Amino acid sequence: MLKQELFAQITWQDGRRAPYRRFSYGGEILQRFSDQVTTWGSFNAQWRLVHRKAFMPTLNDAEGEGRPDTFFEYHNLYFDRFNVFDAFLSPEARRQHLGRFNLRVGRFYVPHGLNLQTDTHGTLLQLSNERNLGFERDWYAGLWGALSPALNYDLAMMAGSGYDLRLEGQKGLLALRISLANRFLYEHGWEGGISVLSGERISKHSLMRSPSVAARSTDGRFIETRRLGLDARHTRPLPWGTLTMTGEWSAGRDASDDILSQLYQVDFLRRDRRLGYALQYRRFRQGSEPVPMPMGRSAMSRAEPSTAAPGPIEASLVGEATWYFRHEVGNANLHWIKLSVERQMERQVGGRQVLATVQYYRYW
Amino acid sequence: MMIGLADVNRTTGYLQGRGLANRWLARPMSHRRKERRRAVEASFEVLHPSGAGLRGAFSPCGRRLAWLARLFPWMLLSLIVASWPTKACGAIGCTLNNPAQDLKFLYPEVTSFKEEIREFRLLPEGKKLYAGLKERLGSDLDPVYESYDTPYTIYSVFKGDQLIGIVHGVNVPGKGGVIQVFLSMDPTTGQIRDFFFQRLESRAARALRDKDFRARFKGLTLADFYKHDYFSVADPTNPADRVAGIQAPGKEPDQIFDFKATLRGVRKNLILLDLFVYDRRFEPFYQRTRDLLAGKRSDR
Repeated sequence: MLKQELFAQITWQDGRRAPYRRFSYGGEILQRFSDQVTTWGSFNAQWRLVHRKAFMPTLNDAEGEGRPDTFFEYHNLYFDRFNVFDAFLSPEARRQHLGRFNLRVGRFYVPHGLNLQTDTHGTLLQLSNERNLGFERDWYAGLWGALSPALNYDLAMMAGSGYDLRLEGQKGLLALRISLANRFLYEHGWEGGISVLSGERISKHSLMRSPSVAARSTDGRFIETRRLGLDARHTRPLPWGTLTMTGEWSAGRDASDDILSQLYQVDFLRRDRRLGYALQYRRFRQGSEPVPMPMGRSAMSRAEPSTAAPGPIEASLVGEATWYFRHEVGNANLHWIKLSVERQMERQVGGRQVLATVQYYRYW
Repeated sequence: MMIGLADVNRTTGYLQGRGLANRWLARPMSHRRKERRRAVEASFEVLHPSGAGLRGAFSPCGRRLAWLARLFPWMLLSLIVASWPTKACGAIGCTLNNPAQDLKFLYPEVTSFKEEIREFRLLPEGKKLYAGLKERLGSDLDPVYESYDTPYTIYSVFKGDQLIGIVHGVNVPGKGGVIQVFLSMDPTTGQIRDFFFQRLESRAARALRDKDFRARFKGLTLADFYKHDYFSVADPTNPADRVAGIQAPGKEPDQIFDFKATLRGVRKNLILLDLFVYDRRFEPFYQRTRDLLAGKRSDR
C-alpha cells in the first residue's frame, strides 16, 4: 500500500525577520508478505523530499540543521519477520509461541518511552527522545512480541548513530522495553512501559551541550549512555470528546553528567474529530561535571562567564490547536491545519524565545 | 543516506569505463541544462565541508551523474519492492492491535494467521458496491468512520492448512466516540462465533461488554438481519426474528444510543464479510426481503 504526504510549515520567532519555512512531499510504503496460510513479514518505508529556508531548530525538525535547502530524507525503513523461530519449532510450540518472537531490522523508533506506540511523523509536538538522546529513530536489529497476555517486550541492539548508519567503533546501545499489552488500552484506556538503555552513542549536539561529556567521550565522539525510563498514557472518553494524558520520564547519565528528562502532555479531541487541542510541558536537565584541565590551569567552572558554558536546563511550554478536515480513525487518511505556540522557558544555549508555527498536513 | 564524493566518483569512473557517460555527455547542452548543472554544483558546494574547488574535483560526468547516484539506492529499493511476488497489504483502518494474542484467545488451536486488506476503491464497480452498503445497512454512511477509501483488514485463521476462522472489525460512531466491533466467524456457515469490542469509548461500556449480552449474537448470520427488516414491519412478534430478541442492556439514553450503534456495527461487519469473504451468499435474503416489503407497501 502506497501512501502520500504533503507537509508545509512556517515558524516565526520573535526578534527574527525571516520565518523558517519547510515544505515537503513524501510517501510511505506499507507492505505485508503472505503465503497460503501465514502473513510472515512486513516492510515499512517513509521518505520526504524536503525544502527548507532560514532553518530554525524546531521541536519537530532538530535533524534538519546542516542539511542543504533541498534534501531527500528517509524516516522509517525497516523489515519485520513475524514468528522468526517457527522453522525450528514443532507445530505445538509454534501455536504456543505465536506472536512471541518477531524480528525487526532497519530504522525505526528507539525502544524508549512511548515513541514505539505513537506516530509523531507528521505532528508538531514530539516526544522526548529527540532531546534526550539526540535522535528518536535509530538503526537496529531486535526482537519484539508478547511476553504474556498482559505484557509486551521490545529488545534491540542499536547502532547509536541516529539518522545515518555509522559504525565507527562505538559500542552501540542495548535497549529493552517492557510495556502493557493493548488490551489495557481498550479495556481501561491505559498504555505504558518501563525501558532501559545502555551503551555508547554518537550525538553531535550532546557533545556541544556539555564540555564534560565532550571531554569524557571516547575518541571525542562516543558518549557513554545509560537511561532508565518510565512512560504512561491514559485515554478517557468524555461526553464531548476524548481526553488523553501523557507522561514520559527518563533518568540516567551521559558519561559523568546526570540526565533527567520529563514530558507531560494533555490532548483533547472533540467528539466529531474535527477539532483538537494539546498542551505540552517538557523539561530536560543535564548536570554537567567540571572538566578536568591540564596541569597549570585552574579547573573550568560553569560559573565562569568567559567559558560561556551551557546551562543545565532546557524547558518549553507548547500549546496547539488543530482543525481536521479529515481524521480517519485508523489514521489512514489525515488532513489538518495546525497552530502551535512554543514558549521556551529555559534554554541551555541561547536566549529564551517564543515560536509560533502554522502547519498544513495531508496524508492519503 | 548521503552520497559522498567518493560514491559519485566511483559511479562516474564505472560509467566512463564503459563509454556510457561519454555518449550521454556528447549531446549539446541547452541553456536550461546549464542552469540545472550550476544548481547541482551549488548544492554540492554546500555539502562539501571545504566548499571550494569542486569544479576541479568533479569531472563533467560526475556532476551530471550526481543526482542519478543519489537516487540510485531508492530506485533499486523501489524495484525490489514492486517486483516482490506477493500481495500488497497494509495494517491500518480497523485492525487488531495485537493479532497473535487476540486470535489465540478466540481460536486456541490456531497455528498461523493471514492478514488481507480489502478496499472498495480497489474492487471492480467499487462505487456501486459502496452505494449498496448504504442500502443494505439502511442508513447513511458516516463520512469519518465509513468513507469510500476506508481499508478493511480480514484475518484468516489457520490450524495447519485448514481454515478455522475469519475475524474482521469495523468502526462505528458511538455517543462517546469510536466503537470498534470485531466478529469472529465460522468460515463455512457465515455464523457469528463470537463478538467483542476492541475499543468502546462509551459510558455504557460495562453493560455492552457484558458476556451475556454479547452471547446473544452467537449463531446469527446476515440473513437474520435481513429477515428482521421484514418481520419488524410485517410480523413484529414472530419468534423466528432472532435479532428482535436482542434488547438494549439498559434504559439510559447513552446505553440505548450505543446499543443501536453496536447493532449497526455488527450488521455492517456482516455485510462487508458477505462482500469480501462469503461471495455474497446472503444476497438472496436481501433481495427476498426487499421484494416482500415492496409487495406489502403496494398492498396498502
